[in-house]
Amino acid sequence: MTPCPAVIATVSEYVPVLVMLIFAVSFAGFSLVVSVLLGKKAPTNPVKDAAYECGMPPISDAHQRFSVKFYLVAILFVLFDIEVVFLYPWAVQFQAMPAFLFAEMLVFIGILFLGWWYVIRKGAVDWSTE
Amino acid sequence: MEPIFHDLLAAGGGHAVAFYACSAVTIAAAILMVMKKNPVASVMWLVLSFIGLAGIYVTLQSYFIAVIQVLVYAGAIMVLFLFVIMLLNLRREDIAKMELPKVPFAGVIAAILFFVSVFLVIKASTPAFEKPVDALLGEPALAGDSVRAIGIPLFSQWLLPFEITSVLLLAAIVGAVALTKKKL
Amino acid sequence: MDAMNLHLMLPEIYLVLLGLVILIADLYLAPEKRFNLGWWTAGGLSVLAVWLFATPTPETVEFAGFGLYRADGFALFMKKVFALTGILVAVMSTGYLKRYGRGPGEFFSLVIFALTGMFMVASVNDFMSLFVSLELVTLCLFILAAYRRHDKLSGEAGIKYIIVGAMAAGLMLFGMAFIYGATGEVRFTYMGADGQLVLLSQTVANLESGWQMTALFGFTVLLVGLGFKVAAVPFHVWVPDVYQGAPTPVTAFLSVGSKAAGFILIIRVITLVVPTIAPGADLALVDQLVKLFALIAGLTLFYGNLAAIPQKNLKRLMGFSSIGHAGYLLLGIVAVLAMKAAGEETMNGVSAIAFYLFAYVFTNMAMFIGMVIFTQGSEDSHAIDDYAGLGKRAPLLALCMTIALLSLAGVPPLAGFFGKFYLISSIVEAARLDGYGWLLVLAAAGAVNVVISMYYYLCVVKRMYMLEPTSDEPIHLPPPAKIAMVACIVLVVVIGIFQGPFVQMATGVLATLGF
Repeated sequence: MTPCPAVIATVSEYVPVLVMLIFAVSFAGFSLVVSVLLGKKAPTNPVKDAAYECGMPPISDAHQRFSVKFYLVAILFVLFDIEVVFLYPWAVQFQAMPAFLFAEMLVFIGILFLGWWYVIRKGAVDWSTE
Repeated sequence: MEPIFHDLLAAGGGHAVAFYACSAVTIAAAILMVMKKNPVASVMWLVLSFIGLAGIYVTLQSYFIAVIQVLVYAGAIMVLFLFVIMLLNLRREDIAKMELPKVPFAGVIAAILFFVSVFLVIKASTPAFEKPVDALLGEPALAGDSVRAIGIPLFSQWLLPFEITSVLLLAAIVGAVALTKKKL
Repeated sequence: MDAMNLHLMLPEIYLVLLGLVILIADLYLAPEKRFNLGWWTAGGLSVLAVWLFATPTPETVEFAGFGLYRADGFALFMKKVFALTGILVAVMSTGYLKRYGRGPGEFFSLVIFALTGMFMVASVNDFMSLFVSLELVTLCLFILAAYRRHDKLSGEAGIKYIIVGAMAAGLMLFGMAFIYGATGEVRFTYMGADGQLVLLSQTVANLESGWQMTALFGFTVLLVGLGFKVAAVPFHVWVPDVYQGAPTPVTAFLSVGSKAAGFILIIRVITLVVPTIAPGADLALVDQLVKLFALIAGLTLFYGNLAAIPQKNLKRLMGFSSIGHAGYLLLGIVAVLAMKAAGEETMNGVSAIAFYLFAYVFTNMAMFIGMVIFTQGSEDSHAIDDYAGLGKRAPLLALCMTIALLSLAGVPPLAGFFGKFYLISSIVEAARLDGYGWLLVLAAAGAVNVVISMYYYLCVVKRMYMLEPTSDEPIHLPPPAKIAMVACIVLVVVIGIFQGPFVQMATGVLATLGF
């Protein structure tokens, strides 16, 4: 069976993605390898890895209840992430009717920008004050 | 060899390789996710599994779903998962105590459900399997510009719900701050 | 129809801007001045209310937002109701929040965003906008219900509300998906291929019977989801706890705003999506819905009013009483459905519901303002026994609350009585139809429940006047709340005595309803 030309064309479109992927993975791998090669090697043993608690053997592990502030950061991330989800299909068809789409997205982003402004001014992500 | 393998390989080696590579990553990561005892490690494997799934969507030319899969599932939902696990704050001893529940009945039901769904998938998708895979990939629902197909109605005809969504998101932002911040 | 028509959506745009102004102003005001934002909100909403009351009732339906937004008489009427609710909530929240001392900017902007959602709910013309607007309302109300951050009951109220809300949203989406699957359309009214305006109900009526069953299943599931919103039995379980735990002004907002929003949507679905059956045609589809709703209405009436009797906490009692009121409002829905099943387009049930909601706003709000004044903005003394001797401690407050309770019970000549009267008479009218004589039983149930509700409302009144006060601490009536409460009571009496203009306003919604 002969391959369909359309499919071949699409496959070749993945090449930049593939190149990008290879770059990303190799950059991460490269950084790891280099840091192992160049970093100072220290001898490790279980005693050295244990948490230091006034020289006494630690009683329990170092887990503590997380502050709700982390959760706030997570929620804010999710909300602004949803905003990006809308931006993607918008950007793809932007050329179809630029003026209208620009105005439309300006309203959307504008409202969310005020939300961002509120978060910053309120110090909701400012951890030093509380 | 199964006809589907033939077709996939015939339809273009790169495509088949990409599809199977993504599938392998998805399944392997899913298995690792179930097997890991540490919930945080499980979540990390789940992220990888989602990314593999996104890759499968790309090979099926559903680009919008693929992007959503990465942004919303691997990004947002996963952050929430991770935070729930961290906020639950399971100690290592608690995790060690968590053996698989010894309920043979549940296992039997899970096994039955698994085989039934495999059977149904094979049964229901036979016509699709028999179809040459390039024809399948060329079908309008799968092919082409799915992002544009979603974007154009969303930003013209369905503009109103889109704009209300911005108020909804703003209310959620305000609410998140109002409920978590100590001093307002 | 497919135009943007931005000018029709100006009330909503105004509301969003008002909410943003309040939110941002909160960031820049001095801490002690921030609590004045309540007056900003009340003022801004009063301007909106005046604007809406000055708008003439539209003669025809106008569409905006590419056909997803409808500006008609019913929407305008409900927006007036919501604007008044918003003003009263703002007035009673201001003192309350000052005492609680937490985030006025957030509170009032969320109230305004919830109102925006309610305004949109009143005007939606498709399932997508319906869902998003209703979720906006639910989300804001959930945050407001949980606003007392360190109060366990408030947290519980928030959690219960959001979980029930999420489940209701899921059911509604499920139902919408089935209706979309059967009809291939999510808009209630749209341009057909021949350039004629098509109602979704016509599309449903023209479907094959199998697809009609699919649509019927969709309606049922959708209406179950909406049943959660309006607190109809058996979807009411969340109501008492949420009403009790939420801050009192939020409870007031929930009991009026959220309920009205749910009923608007039920009315929209029933008038625009459920088909009117031509005489002699197969009744199955709509007839089933009539029976279902009659059953739900009867259960809701009896459950709400009987379960209110043993209550010891006034907020819980108001919760159960609001279930009872949902039962009355459902009578109007049953009447409209029965008319549709008989092939008639008479919708007196809708105007009865509109009148009832209008009267209910003032009655219920007067009651809740009275509660906020009595508890002095705390949440400690909602026990009914605490109201003992209120007649001696604060005669004006006791008098206003008594009139509000009597109107809720349905004592003539107060507004509440005529609301119930019109709803029951719409059912009696529907009972004249062939095959629907049994609806008289429902009308009788409505009448019986007036008596039952009278009992528990009068028990509260009895404590106020017949018992000796348990404390002689003076009750301070802050002037704005006092004025708002007295104004509500005056309106309750005026609407009861001079119904003419108000009934006219309520029947005015009918002209543009089913298009």
